[in-house]
Amino acid sequence: MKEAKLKFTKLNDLIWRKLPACKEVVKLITASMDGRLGIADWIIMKVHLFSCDSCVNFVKQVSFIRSALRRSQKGLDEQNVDIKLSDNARGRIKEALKGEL
Amino acid sequence: MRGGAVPFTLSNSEMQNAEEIQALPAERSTTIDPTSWVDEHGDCLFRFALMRLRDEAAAEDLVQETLLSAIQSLSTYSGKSTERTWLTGILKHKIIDHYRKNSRQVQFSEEDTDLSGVERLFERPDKWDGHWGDKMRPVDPEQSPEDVLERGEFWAVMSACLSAMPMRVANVFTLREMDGLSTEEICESLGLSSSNFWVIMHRARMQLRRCIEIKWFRKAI
Repeated sequence: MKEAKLKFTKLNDLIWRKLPACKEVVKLITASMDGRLGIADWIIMKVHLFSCDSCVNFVKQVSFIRSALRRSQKGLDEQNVDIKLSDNARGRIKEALKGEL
Repeated sequence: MRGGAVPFTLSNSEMQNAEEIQALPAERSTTIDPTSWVDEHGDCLFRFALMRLRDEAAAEDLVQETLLSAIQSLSTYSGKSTERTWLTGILKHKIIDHYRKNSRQVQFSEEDTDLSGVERLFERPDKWDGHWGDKMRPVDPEQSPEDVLERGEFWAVMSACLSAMPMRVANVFTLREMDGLSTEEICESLGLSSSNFWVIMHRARMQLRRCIEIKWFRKAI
């Protein structure tokens, strides 16, 4: 057990010292959301996420934001219900539609 | 960044269906009356366009163009979606056309592609420089998107955070994350190189995430 723990610590230390830091890994994470990673970068990202809770939380946050934004139309529209077409624009558009019908 | 053709994504399933973007709920009409469109859908379409263009005159013009196009293509309206969903779909195409026509004027400044602001989160005085700073570590959201969809306070925060983005950055980000366009479609419409697209999206995601974290995730815990 002790030996296994020591090995794990060494692996973790290697990951943190030798592989790209969080600053670089978040670039890989955001790039992966647009489907741009090659396999080497994908492995670096996954290995880093294995040992970094902060970057795991980063993934959770950006995934949360993406998922919410994909269903944001109603929520965002309700924030701006006071914004309306001006009377001028409304009249102008109605006239244009009449001309087309 | 090592380039590669094989796409490995974290959340591919979320990207599958751009059509899942929800239009606003509206009663399905049994009869179509274009003369009522301005009063029934005009304001909503205007807000949709204004949020993306941040230009009232251009947004008004696109609402008009959308409704005129809809009249011309009435015969193609199957009635499967609500009128508003159908009109919103036409408006989305008009907005992309607008970007395409104006892409020569849309110059991305150095500020739009400057990552120095977001990289400050990773400045440390110790040997761990490059990793998250002590007070900058992201927190676990501890909630699901479904929990906030109906919460006005969340959308007020989201609206404020989106408004704080520079316009050109917001244009790219919105096309990708809200309208579900592919990287290729956006680069083609806006005349963007893929490397500029990547930097802009990275900056936008980092900025929006930080804003939502400060104003929502940390307060919700």
